[in-house]
Amino acid sequence: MANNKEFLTFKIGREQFAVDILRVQEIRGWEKPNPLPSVPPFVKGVVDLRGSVVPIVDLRERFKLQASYDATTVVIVVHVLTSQGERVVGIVVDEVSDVQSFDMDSLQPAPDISTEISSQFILGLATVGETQRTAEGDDNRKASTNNMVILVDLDRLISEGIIDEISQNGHMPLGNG
Amino acid sequence: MDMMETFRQTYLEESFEGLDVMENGLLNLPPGIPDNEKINEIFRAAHSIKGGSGTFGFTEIAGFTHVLETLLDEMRDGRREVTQDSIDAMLAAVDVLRDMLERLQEHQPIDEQRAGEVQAWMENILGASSEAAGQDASAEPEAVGGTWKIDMIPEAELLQTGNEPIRIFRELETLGDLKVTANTEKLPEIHAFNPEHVYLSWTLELEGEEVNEEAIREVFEWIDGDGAEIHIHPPQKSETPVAEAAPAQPSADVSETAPAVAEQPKQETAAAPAQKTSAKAKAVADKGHKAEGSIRVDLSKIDQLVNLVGELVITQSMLSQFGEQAEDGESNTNTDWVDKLKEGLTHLERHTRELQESVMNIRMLPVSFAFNRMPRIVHDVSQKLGKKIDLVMEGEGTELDKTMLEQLTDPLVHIVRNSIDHGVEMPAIRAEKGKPETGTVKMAAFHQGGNILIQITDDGAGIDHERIEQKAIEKGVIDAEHHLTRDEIIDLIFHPGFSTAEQISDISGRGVGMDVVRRNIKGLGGSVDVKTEKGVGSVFTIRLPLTLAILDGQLCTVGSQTYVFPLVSIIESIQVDKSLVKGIAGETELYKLRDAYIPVIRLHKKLGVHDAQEDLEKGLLVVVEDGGQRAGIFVDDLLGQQQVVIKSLESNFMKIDGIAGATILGDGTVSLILDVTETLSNHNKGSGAQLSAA
Repeated sequence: MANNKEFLTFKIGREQFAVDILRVQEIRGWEKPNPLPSVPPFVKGVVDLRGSVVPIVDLRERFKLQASYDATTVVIVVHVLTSQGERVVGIVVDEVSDVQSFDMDSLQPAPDISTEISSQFILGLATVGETQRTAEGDDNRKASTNNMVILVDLDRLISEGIIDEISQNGHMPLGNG
Repeated sequence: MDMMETFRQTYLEESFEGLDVMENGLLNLPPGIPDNEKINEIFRAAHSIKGGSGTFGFTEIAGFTHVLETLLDEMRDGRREVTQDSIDAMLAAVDVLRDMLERLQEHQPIDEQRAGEVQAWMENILGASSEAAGQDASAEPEAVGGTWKIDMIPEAELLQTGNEPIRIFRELETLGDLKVTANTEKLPEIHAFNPEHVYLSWTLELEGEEVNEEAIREVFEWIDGDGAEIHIHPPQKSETPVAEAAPAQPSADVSETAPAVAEQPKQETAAAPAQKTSAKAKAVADKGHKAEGSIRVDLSKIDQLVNLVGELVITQSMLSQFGEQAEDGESNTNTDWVDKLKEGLTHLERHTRELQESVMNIRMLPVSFAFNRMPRIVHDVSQKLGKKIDLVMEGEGTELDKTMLEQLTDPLVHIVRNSIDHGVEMPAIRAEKGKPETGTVKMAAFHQGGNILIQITDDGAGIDHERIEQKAIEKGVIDAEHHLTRDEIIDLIFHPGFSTAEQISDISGRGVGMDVVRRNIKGLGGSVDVKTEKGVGSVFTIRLPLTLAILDGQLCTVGSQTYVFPLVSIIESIQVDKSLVKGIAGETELYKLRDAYIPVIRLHKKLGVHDAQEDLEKGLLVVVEDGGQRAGIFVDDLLGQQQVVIKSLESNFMKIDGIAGATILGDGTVSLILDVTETLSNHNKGSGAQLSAA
């Protein structure tokens, strides 16, 4: 039996990403968070999420992509497991697409090439199902990246790719006196 | 968690409490004629630990506690004097038990070696006395060895009283080789058989060196004459030579093994301090894990909560009634309406505040929780060092947040050990100096302002600042040409890697102590400092916030952002007179506040806020103090003061320098709480200039 898992797919720029649906707590519209000092620009700040203070990270800026805030900009609130325990983090993406099921056994490994998204944060690559392909098949766009979905390893991305990175690189020196 | 696990957890919790009772009892037990009241208390605690452990199948604990119990029992019956050695042995046993229980809690195997050593120690004490008893008091013939015969004839209802013969047999098996013969004579025909009745009786043959009547009686304690008839037949006369020879044997053992056993713990600690530290480090880690456990709350506190919730419900219904009136348009006709609404809101506010206080109160425990460990430590350490110490405790009833209390215990232990090790002098030296031979260590807890203070005072030698200075220069902690004041030099004892102990002992002096103490206490949002006078003594003062979760805050704005200052650190707020601002080396600004110069910290620069007021005269300077150091923090404007609930940034993100946490304001926005201590120390590091407030 195929080892199927459901993922929430979302768009950053022209690329499709996906995160494990079980990790998604909720999807919120973008609202400007309260900024934090001494953090890199991709940490947009913190918001109050029913009594707990949740950091908002812009994945687009983390991946060095263009970030603009408009009507479809959304925040996906996810649970991640780090070495320090469970954390709730909001990630900013361009647009949320769909919930799709992927066969975990037929994922393709991420190519080990140097990109902004290091391959260690990627569970694998998948191609979207038939229905979607026919729908987009008529499209005039050259369907090269359109039908590829990048499955993100949220735990590693948030803990190693974001939190550890900030602590290792030290805090951004912000004017002394 | 299944049912058994729940019971197990309860058993463990109760056992830990029992151990505390035993430890306290033992420490208050004077050598000499036994005080029955106290011994009884210790005995009861030991007995319930043993009972529970048997039920849960923790046979090691049951066996171990049994020896301890026997010892106590003999003291209770006045057959044995309380000696310092036996108290020490029993204290060691309490430690072993605590260790066993902790390991059980974590599902780890038990350290049998240590348990064996302590058990042998106690058995030696027991052996020595049974020999003595055999010699001078033949009234109590303690026949040891040989085959004991026991007839056990239970009443039919034995099982209904919750007693299980198999458990009893198992218990007997721990004493020696057991042979059980069941007597089936009374078994009825199958149709007359009541499954809840016992029809069997047993003849038991028990053989072993350590068997004595008392031990057997104890096994049957619950059912003897109350559910079953028990007849115990001592070994046959023909075997008496064996029985007589037996006591001689342990006595020979005593002389050989007793010193070895007594020395073993010492050797161990001396030979492997490193190992001990690692074990300790583990214990600390474990503690963090345990901190998530349950809490016992005074029933009155719960009652108070229930009452308050009741009040809150009444207020709520009152307010919703007003809401309905407003809908009906009554509010226009009824002039009292607004007044009543206001009154209702006042009630609501009061109840909410009281409710908040009561809920916080649940987390509060008396300091005695942490203080209670101290008598034991003082006892152990002073004995090891040959010093005489009186421990005085005051204000044990002062309440502190539970989490805080748990993390406070280790620093407290460390300070007390230090006071005894480095502070209080040896009795001879004290006598020479005209002090009483017995030194005093006083621990006091009390409220002061918005803080809780814990002071550890000793009347020892005090801290020699010249020696600290010398050591610090030797170790390169400071330059020979430093400009530190005496107090600043003494403060160096909190510096990492600094220890003045001439000889490294396993009590203190590894140089990893006081800096950890300070770090731990800082982690709790508190501070620690020391005042000392050579030859007179030292006072360590730990200052802690009342609770971790709520803070009196002063709101301020910087640009479009709102930040919160902890109110306790604010001295005053002033408008800036530009003529009093002096610059040093361009970047650093100083402000002349009356007759002192204080550094000016521009908060908008620290926090990277771009739309803030930059003109000093148009904003405000908040003068804050931390650790004796003052600074003026420049903000745009001050808003109101309010209590804020501290939310951790680390729980979902990470620690940010200069920020103590976040809070959620009434309008739902998040506001950051400034960490004044960090802001000040960062500023000093950053500016590179040593600024001492004149």
